[in-house]
Amino acid sequence: MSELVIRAFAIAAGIGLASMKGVLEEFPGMMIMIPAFLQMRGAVGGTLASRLSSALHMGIIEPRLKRSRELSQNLIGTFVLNVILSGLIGCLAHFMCLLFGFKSSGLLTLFLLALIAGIISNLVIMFVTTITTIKIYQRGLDPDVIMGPFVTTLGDVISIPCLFLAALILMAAGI
Amino acid sequence: MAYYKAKDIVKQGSVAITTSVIVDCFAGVLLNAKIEALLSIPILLVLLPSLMDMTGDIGCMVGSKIATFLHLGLVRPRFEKNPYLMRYAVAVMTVAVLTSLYLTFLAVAASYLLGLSAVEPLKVLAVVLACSVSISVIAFLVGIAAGFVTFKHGWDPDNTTIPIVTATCDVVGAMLLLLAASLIGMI
Repeated sequence: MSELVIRAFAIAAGIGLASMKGVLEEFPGMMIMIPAFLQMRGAVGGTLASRLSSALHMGIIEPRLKRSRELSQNLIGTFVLNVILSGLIGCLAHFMCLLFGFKSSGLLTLFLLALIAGIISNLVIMFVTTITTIKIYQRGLDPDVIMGPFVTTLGDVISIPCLFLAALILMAAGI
Repeated sequence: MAYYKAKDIVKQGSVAITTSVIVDCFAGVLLNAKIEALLSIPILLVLLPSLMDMTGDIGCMVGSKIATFLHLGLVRPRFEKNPYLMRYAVAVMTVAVLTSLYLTFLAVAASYLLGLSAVEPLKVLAVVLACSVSISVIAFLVGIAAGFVTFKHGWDPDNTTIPIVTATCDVVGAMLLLLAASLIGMI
């Protein structure tokens, strides 16, 4: 059931991508990082949801929205992981451009672009994923089945506007 | 003693996700290399994002569930008949078939509305069904293998199964779609 609802929303990600054409021309090399960025976003969010589901099933994390050591370790780990991978993808995009002879907007620009977009999108994903996983478990549904598709699609929909936003921030900063 | 440590999550996650990002680049290269074949059959372009997303979702569900089974001790990390895995395999197949029907309906409706060249709904259904069923089988096998290996190694399968399964599904999905494109082209 969650599959069917989410399928209809997946189209929103494509519309977002189409509206970014101007920005993509402003930042050569940005297009290269999009598939890797989306895969990373889905994987970081997906593994967080997967760990939370396991922890809820095992009773390590209580199905209530309150601070706990296990939950905060999970969130800190997810955040640090995301920062490392976002920066890595920015650098990777630059070297892919060099390797295949495309124009690149520079190592620093692509690095900052991926990093800023990664941090913004990650904060949204972490917040939504944690609350939704716990709420779903409270209702007696299995978060393992629902959260996977939900998080990857949410990641796709959020990543594109976040990359766009990061590009605007960089433009405003004059980089 | 805490069950989760941020350090372990970062270590295991960065290994698994970096691998998956690199593997995923190959899916992109594959699709890019054969873009003409895809462009000649517009319905495949309509299907592409949804089909890739669906394969990722199936991979995600399978990876997440197998990790939970291992944590709960319902499945032991060795190859043997297991009622939980069998029941879950049937459920995944059912989801794959139902989603394929829905996806075919959406894609055919969209291409009629957009006035794309005539397509036979049955042919589209055959392609989508073949892709999603074989993807589910592969996702299941890769998910089990990845979960077992990492769990035995003392790692948290929650950190590794999803990136490995989704990246595999993306590459296999791209290959199947190209195969479908060349088959449709021949018929």
